[in-house]
Amino acid sequence: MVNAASTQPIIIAGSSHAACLGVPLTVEPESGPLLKIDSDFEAVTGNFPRDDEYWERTVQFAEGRAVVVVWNGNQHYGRFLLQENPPFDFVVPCQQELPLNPGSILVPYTAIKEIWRDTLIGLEDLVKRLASIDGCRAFILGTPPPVRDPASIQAALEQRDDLFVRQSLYYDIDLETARLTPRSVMWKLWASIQDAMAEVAKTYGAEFIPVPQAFATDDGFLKEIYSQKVDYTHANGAYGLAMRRHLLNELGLRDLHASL
Amino acid sequence: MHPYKTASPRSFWSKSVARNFNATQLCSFEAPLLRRGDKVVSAGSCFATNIVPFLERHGFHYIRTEERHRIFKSIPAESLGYPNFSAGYGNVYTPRQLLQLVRRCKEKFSPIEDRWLTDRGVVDPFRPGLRYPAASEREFELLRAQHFRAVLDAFRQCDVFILTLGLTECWTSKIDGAVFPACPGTVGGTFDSARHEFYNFSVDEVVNDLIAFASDLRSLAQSPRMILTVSPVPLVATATGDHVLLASTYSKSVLRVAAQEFCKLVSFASYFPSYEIVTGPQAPSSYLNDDRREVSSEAVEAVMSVFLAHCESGDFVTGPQVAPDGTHDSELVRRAMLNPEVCEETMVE
Repeated sequence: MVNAASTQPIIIAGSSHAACLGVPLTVEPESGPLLKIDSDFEAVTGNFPRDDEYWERTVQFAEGRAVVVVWNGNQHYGRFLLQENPPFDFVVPCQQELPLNPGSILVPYTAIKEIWRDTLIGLEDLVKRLASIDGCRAFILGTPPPVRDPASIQAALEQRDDLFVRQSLYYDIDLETARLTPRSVMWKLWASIQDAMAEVAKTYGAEFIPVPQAFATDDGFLKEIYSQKVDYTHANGAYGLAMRRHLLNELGLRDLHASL
Repeated sequence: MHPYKTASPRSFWSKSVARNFNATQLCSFEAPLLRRGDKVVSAGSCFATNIVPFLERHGFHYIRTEERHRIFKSIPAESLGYPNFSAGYGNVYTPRQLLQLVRRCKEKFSPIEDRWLTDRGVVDPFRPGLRYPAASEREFELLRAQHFRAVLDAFRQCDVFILTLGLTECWTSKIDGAVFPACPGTVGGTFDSARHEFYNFSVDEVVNDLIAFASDLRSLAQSPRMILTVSPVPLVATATGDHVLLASTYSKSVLRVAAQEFCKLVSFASYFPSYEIVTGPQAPSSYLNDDRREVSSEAVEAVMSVFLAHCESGDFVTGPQVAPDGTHDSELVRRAMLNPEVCEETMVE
């Protein structure tokens, strides 16, 4: 048992990006509220999309436990799959030298992060509550970076995938002339979400566990071996398995440091 | 027989102020202040923001080169009037600040104290209230360069430049005379008496700055015209040590005289009497709110109705304007103006 401090399995709770880690998105009648993933991890089960009841359940199990929260993580796809008109770009503090797309309007990074704020309010509340529970150690897990090769996304656009139709209508973008947001911008958007989650963790007493560099290509995109073939917005089971190992190492190291 | 015998009624207080006051007759111009199709750019103090919605509602072409990207519709808007002008320079209180703005854009002036590194990011001392400051110095430099291009783009397109003079008092850098829009430490940054000092401009200095700006503007735009007004809004506070009422009177007097002198010297400049319409003895007390500083929506409407009366008529909408949400045009303006976040000056209190 690596989670030495509590001797109990690590709890994982979260939305769709938690599925590859072994957290079910559907409620099976036979599964209890806490489902064993393996000897080191348990998953909080419940309604999907996650609702207040689900997060309340997470809080109830948190006493004396390490709780890893996987929160949203697809905001960049949900909002910016289609390129805006005029196109925009921005500088991310973690990779300031990344090139800017010619012809794009430069927008402030702090304003981009503000866009995500609404999507993280629930996370703030959750982490605040977890941090106040006896013996609970709360972790926010980074979410998978975007895929490098947008071919599958381009194909989905050309096939008028429902997601694109909805986005084009909601954000008033002409689907006939629509283009994908450049992958470099998509990566920056993802990075800004990770940064915003790290800030939430720091502010409200949790720890942020970023996606390790080993899971990404040299330029930061999700390695193909970890990418789902059909659903380009989520990582696959191999990613989940590798991430669980990473979590064990990370949380174990933290326990080691705490005991020194 | 003496010269007054042939003077028009408007030359006499008894005939044009005590009785039969008509604000439209306060000024006369050889040509309309604005013609249809003119591209209008404006700058100035908080009061200057009142002009823009009226012009846009009446079909004039107000140049905007630095609008907020539509992806930010869902987040809080910029504060302090940055979105209210042709480019995102925000409130420009003194002619020196305006002159330095254009010279910074043209790389003719590079203030030494050009950024403040703070907990909330890299703050621009010349736009200290930006709600979304740069997160890094590289981003700061790129955003500032984009801002400068937008300013020059607006000025280059300008047919008419409307400038509302607001203050003579300012805070400057002791190192190179850079003028800050607000005293460091009030909106952003930290006040340091070793680096920052108070300055109160004289008539000559204001005139010289206006002339220098007009010259720079003409080097950018084809054949711009300028309209000068003086803000009727008194100072929030003075750093002179005098009573704020005296300091305010000095400031407005200097600006008013400077505007007159400037218009005498520059053929393409005209003075428009916003100041007189709102603060003259003929003005109803309702033109100022209870604090006797804030200008009421009624006053703004009075100013703008005179202004529009001197613009080229045509197919413009006349009379009170109603916004799509049912609110009155001037109410929107008033709400914007009364928002303390529109004005850096109010942050000294």
